[in-house]
Amino acid sequence: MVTEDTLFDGAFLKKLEYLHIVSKRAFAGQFRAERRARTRGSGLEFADHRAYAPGDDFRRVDWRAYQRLEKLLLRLFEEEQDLPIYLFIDASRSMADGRPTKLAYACQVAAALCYIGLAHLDRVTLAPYTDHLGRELASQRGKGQIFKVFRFLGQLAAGGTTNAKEAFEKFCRSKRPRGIAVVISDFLDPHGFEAGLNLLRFSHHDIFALHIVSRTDAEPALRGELQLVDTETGSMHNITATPSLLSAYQKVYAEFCNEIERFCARYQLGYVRTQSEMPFEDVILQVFRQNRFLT
Amino acid sequence: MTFLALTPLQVALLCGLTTAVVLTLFFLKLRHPRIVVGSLLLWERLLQDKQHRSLLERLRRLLSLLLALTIALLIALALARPEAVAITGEPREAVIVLDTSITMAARTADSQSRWDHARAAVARLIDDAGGADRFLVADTSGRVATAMTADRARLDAALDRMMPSATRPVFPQVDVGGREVIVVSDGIATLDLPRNARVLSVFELADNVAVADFKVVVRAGEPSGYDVRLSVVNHSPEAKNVYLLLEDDGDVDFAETVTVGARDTVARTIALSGRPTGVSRARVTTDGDALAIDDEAVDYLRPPRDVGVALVTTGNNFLETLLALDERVDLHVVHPDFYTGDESVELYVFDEFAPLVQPAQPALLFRPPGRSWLAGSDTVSPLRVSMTGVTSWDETHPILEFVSMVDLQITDARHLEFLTNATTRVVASAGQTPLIVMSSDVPKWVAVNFTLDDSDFSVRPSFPMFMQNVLAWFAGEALPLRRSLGTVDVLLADATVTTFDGVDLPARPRVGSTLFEASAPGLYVASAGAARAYVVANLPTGLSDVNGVTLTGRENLEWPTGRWLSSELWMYLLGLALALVALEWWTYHRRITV
Repeated sequence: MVTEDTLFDGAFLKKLEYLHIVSKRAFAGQFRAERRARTRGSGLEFADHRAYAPGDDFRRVDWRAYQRLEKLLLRLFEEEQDLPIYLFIDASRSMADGRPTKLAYACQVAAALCYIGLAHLDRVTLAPYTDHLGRELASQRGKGQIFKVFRFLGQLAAGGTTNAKEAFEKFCRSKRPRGIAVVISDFLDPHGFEAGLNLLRFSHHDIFALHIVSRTDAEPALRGELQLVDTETGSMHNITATPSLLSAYQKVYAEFCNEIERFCARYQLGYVRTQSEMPFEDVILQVFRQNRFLT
Repeated sequence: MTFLALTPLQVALLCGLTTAVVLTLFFLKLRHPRIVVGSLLLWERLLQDKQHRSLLERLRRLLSLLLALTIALLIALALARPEAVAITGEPREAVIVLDTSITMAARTADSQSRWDHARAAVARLIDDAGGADRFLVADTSGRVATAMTADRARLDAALDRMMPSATRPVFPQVDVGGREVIVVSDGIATLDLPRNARVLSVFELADNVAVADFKVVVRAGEPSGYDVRLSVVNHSPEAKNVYLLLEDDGDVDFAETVTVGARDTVARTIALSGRPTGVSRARVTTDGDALAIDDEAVDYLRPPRDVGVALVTTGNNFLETLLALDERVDLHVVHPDFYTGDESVELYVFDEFAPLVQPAQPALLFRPPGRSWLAGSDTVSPLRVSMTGVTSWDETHPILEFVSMVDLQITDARHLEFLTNATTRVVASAGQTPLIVMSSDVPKWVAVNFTLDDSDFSVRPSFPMFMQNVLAWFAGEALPLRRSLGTVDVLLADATVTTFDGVDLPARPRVGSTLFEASAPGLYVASAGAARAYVVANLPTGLSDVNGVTLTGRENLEWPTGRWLSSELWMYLLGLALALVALEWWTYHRRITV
């Protein structure tokens, strides 16, 4: 069960409060918040001038500019709104692999990102998925909602097969405001990882792929005559785990990871790969910052 | 290719069965352990990779199966003991004869014996031969002879049964054919070798001193003393100081050290008082003696026993004097006219007389007239013949032991037609004329068909011996038989044989006699019911000459090789199977095979 106690201590939470989730683009929010929006509005930060038009608010006329230029110019300020953050958590059976399990690790990271978002008044949506979109934790705002997040994450259990395309299709059809879509997954999707990400990409979300790998995925400790059973599909395959085969597998796995990384790079999607055995605080405080996902 | 252990059909069946078993076991091998993995996505991608669908990968299981099959078939073939002429060469056959004469037991300078050297030489010959090469091994004592075989275990077992013995050596009665014959010998024994025989000599010069002759005899005219006649021979190339020791029933009677020259003989007659009370034994001891069995000899002088003898004669000085002089004999002389047949004696001696009815006691008859109980028929008519000498006699019979009939002159004899059978037989004859006939039916009788007056038998040294033998045979206590060491034949049916100390010896019954092995000088006792025979066994004179080489030559008898492999193919097949097992183990642990 993911709880605040098991996830975070006070010092760590304090550190999280100083972090922001970086969005490469500005998105329209619903509420005033701390995040610069695409629209000009009543924020404090000066954004631009424009010519006065009848009906404009006189209070925004820049009289100093009129004094210099003898033109009525209106001062425009940036609108600071909240940012929709969608956290997609892969909850398929393959995420139950590893020690700790990839799902547990994903929940920890998701909880941390939620906390960061909530602390900055962003609207955070948690959306677990397998071959379909699971029950969401609808938009939450404000730090007070973190306990609801913990409870939600604590109830997550791995099961089912992976089909991101199906899951994200449903999500995209539901006309959500554009925002940051963080996909936390091992991307071992029999239907291909690209389809799901493309759907999000085509929906103009700012996508960030958090690739969680476990050591058993990357360097399986297998030897001899074995029958491998796919935990999701139940399909089986006989192999003879020789050192050369394992070496070849590791190459295939590395190529798979590189494939995801190249895909993300090509379409300017954020990508971070982390091992589930790695302390997640390091991922939050170091890896995400190095990859400019957090500032 | 031929198979030594199985027929080709059996080999084919064995190979087929082996293949079936291996295939069954291979495909019935344990199910792979299941491992649950997060996803097979990448594994399938990997296994579909061309690199891992290579020929080697597909052949991996086949390779493993082939290795297992090869190993199993190699072992199966090894069991069949294959032979390939192209590899091991044409199989050869040879007869190996080991000389088991007693001189082969002579110790050599390396503290072994000539026999040890011979065994080692034969072992080398057989070991150097190819697996299909066949041998027949036999000894010269006639005890051991194998069939022609390639079975090394049988050959070894036969060789283990062989040992030097005092049996007079003869070349074995084996079918040599055109085969190679190898005789391993010290060259002392005189063997009638086949022309193609090659001799592998194990001769080595040795020192040996032996008792050449040993006899204990009653001293003539002095019943209270006896003489010991002892000859010691030195076969060594140099003179030896020899310590002589005479024992009577374990007590030392005489001891002396004499010097015997190289290849010389010293004969001594030692006069001793009284009578020996048991087995007399002579021993010689010297330094560096190579052969022990000839250092000792035994003899036995039967203890005296009184016997009542009735001499039925009209007058015969020779017989009367001889019997009167024998201190054992209580002599009664009876004229034939006064013969009643109920004299209280233990045996009769009839001189030119025979009663009509056979007496109840044993009888010795000199020139008896024709009687039904002698001839077995009343119709037998005697025929008087003139003759000069004895042409044949059975010196093995107890009554003729040590009785020489050479040059015996007989001027006149009576020709009686005896019905010979299993118990009545002629033991001496002149042509067709039986001279001495004996019957072992109780009561026994011995008929001499000539008178002492008509021959010179009475004045010959063998006559007292003959009389003594007859009296002893009648009394059921034959004089000790003097025999050579080795196989002894005693004329007692179904007898048990013991040493003089009462230790039982294995004996083999034959028709009318019993065989036993006398392996050491000593007195042996054969008993069958009340009958008893003493056998004094010593090494025959002449067998102890360890340096009297008659066969020479130490030929280089290395077995011709001319083949690729010196051992049988099965050894190499097993070696190869072992190597493949090691290879399989190595490749399995490196996952080259599965």
